[in-house]
Amino acid sequence: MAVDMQSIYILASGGSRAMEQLDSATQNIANVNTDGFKKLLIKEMSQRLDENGGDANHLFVFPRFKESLVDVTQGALHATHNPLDFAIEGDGFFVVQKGKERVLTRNGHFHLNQEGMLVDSRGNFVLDEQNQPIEIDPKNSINVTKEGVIYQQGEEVAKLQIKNYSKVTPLGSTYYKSDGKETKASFTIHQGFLEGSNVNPMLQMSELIIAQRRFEMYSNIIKNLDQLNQKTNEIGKA
Amino acid sequence: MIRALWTAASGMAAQQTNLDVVSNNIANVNTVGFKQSRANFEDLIYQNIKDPGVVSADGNRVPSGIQIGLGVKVSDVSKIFSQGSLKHTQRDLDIAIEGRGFFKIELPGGGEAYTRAGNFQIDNEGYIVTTEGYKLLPNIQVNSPETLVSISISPNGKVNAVRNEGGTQTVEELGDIKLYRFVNPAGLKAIGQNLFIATEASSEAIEGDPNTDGFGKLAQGFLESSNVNIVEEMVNLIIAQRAYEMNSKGVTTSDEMLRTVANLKS
Repeated sequence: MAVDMQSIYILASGGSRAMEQLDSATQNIANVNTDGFKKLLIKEMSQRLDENGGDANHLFVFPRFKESLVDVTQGALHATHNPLDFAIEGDGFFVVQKGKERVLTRNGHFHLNQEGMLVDSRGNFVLDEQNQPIEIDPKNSINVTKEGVIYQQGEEVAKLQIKNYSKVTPLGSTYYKSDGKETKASFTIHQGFLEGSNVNPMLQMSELIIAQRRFEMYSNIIKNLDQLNQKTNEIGKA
Repeated sequence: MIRALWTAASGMAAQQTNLDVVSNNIANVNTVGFKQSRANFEDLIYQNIKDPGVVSADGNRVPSGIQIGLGVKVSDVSKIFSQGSLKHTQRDLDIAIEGRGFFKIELPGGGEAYTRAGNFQIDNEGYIVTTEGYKLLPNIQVNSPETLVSISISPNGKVNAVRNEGGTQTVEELGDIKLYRFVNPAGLKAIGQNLFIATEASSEAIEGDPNTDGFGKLAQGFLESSNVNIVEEMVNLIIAQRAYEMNSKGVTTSDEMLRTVANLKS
């Protein structure tokens, strides 16, 4: 046959990558207003076909996904005037006790629970530097310094634990899991602020366009190859 | 493919809730004692897609795997209990709380609710009631209205009736207004009519006298305005609408790509 069927599979594989690009772009757009959200990037790569002998060996490469990376660049801070809202400017995450594991978050929208413990919006304890939950006296106002030290009536209550890692993976609910070496956290805490999503809508809309157009390109070439095959079949006809 | 459609749809649903919350805030910009709400969002779980043992073009075997998110949802709609500004009304029974307490109200079907709206009135039996006619707790009754000149309420909650009895002015003590506060006011449940009820999340109400230890003092002749900042809410409205539109583009793009798939086979 004149046209190798393999090229159609390669184009179909490219189409799958375009769909994943669409998936990640819509995910980022859906979270354009989610406080503490970090956008997700998807890396693609080309894969060599080892078992394919002959000349095609180094010609045909399949587009495959490689990995997804959390882009931890700073999101914009917005004022909420709520004394229990905190934003981190710089590197680092708040540490939250979620069941038995400790998870990271940049969403500093905290509350007091009925016992006066500092919790996040899912009711999980926010941890201090000694990995202990933080107890706040609800009668008195709280002040938090740029270093994350919580003061009530001039007395130090606790210091928020801020950790930074070279790589994190998302868990949902704006929680992240450390997945790499611990690195130095250099940060400033802002009380009464929240960090918005770091999604750039302009970029994500462009991603939507790119995903769609490359998908159409693959689809057109598949159709053309199909027509080519059809013509080849017709040659033999009397 | 279907993933992107649902992801974009979840974004539209979340922004719709955001719009609902913002519109409710704007609608209550002149409601006495109203506290603004804010919708907060969180990302949904991530799907791990693994493709182990793939050899890259430069010959390396890489552990290949990506995570794809499945959208967004509203994590909570929380009330922000910041102080609203006080406006002068000169009415005896307009009481504003400067601080963090709440008034306690008796609900008609039994049960208790809490409010910051201090525009009280007197009912036909002389009880101090809300505009809906629900009694203030502890009950304060004003008897013999024919001799009543005025009612005075001190910043620490003492309610006195000033009377004119046959030309002499007398002062009668009617009772004390108590205030109530919560460890976590954001956990209160709003039931409309400016009323909140205590929940497990808010903790039990802690009773105290006005003008003591964080309960706030009373200001007679004042009302607490809504704490909604209209400029902020208009900006939120714009953000919600544009985010909604962008998510809808996600839906149309997914739809068009699905059509491309369907048209592959002529």
